Amino acid sequence: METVAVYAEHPIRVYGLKAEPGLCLVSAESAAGGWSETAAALAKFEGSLQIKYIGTEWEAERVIFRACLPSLQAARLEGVFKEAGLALTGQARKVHLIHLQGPHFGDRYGLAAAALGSLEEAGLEPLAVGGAVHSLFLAVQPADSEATLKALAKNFSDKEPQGG
Amino acid sequence: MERLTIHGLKYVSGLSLLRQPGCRGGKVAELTRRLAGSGINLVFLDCPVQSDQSCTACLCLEQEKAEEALVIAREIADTHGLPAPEVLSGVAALTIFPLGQSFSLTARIMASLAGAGLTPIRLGTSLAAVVTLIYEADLESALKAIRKGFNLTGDLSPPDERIRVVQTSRGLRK
Repeated sequence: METVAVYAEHPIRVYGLKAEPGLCLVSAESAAGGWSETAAALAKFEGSLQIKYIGTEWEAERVIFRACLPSLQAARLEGVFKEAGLALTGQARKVHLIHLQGPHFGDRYGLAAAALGSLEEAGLEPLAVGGAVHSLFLAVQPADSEATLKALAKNFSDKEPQGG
Repeated sequence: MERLTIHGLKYVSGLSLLRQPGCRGGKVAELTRRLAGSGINLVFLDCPVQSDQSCTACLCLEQEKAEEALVIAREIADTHGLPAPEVLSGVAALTIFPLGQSFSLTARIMASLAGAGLTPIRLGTSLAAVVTLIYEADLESALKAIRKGFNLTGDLSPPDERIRVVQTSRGLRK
């Protein structure tokens, strides 16, 4: 095993610190027993949807699908879900999405803690938090977007480090 | 249906999935802070607040850290009166590049795995990839299914991890 990088930075450097507006979260579910038919039906979709995030969880009784995409495309995705036999779970929720990405984010501990700690201090709660590979994302209510960015700026920065 | 092209396929095995029902907001912050305090990296994280306001925090970490993580999670669950946390071991993460904001790619990954008779555990996407958590015992079948279902370009990434990155606590707020 070769060590390629060592990090001890504060604030934590990210490639950008901004919220993407105009999105929504759509969720739907199917019975766990029929999930292979559901997957086959979803795979037939050949249109274009600007998906920002997809999350899926397989439970004993059900499979839950979640997707974040532009609000203008929400009805289309809901139609795709319905055609595949999925039941929508509630109404699409409007969100802003904040992506935190930085060097080797997938291999460093404490990044989610720094992000969630920032929000906790500010009394904010995201609607969804996800982390995969080099991305950490937070889906927040539009009204909380600005306050969330301000809170995150205490621990994360997209500015080049000063000096050397 | 035309086969989609993917540019990388990697996996990491030897993982565990920590599930903590009822854990949201400040409690997720507390859990991740305590795990970070023990130097535990999260390979995958998914904490959605569902439409019915329920929430189960799912955190994927190295199997050798699972026992320590479970002790921490139990302490937090006891403090806040949450249901007992669970750990599922023998988990692997399969990462497929690139995502490119494609719904079709994710749907076809699911269909390929389903077609091989496999049921994944969890799936999430980043800007660059689709990550699927599967049972380690299904890894060979899953890799075979993905290679069968997609065109893999020649410059395929190494399928297993051979490098590491070190995060020290000096740069992190306690």
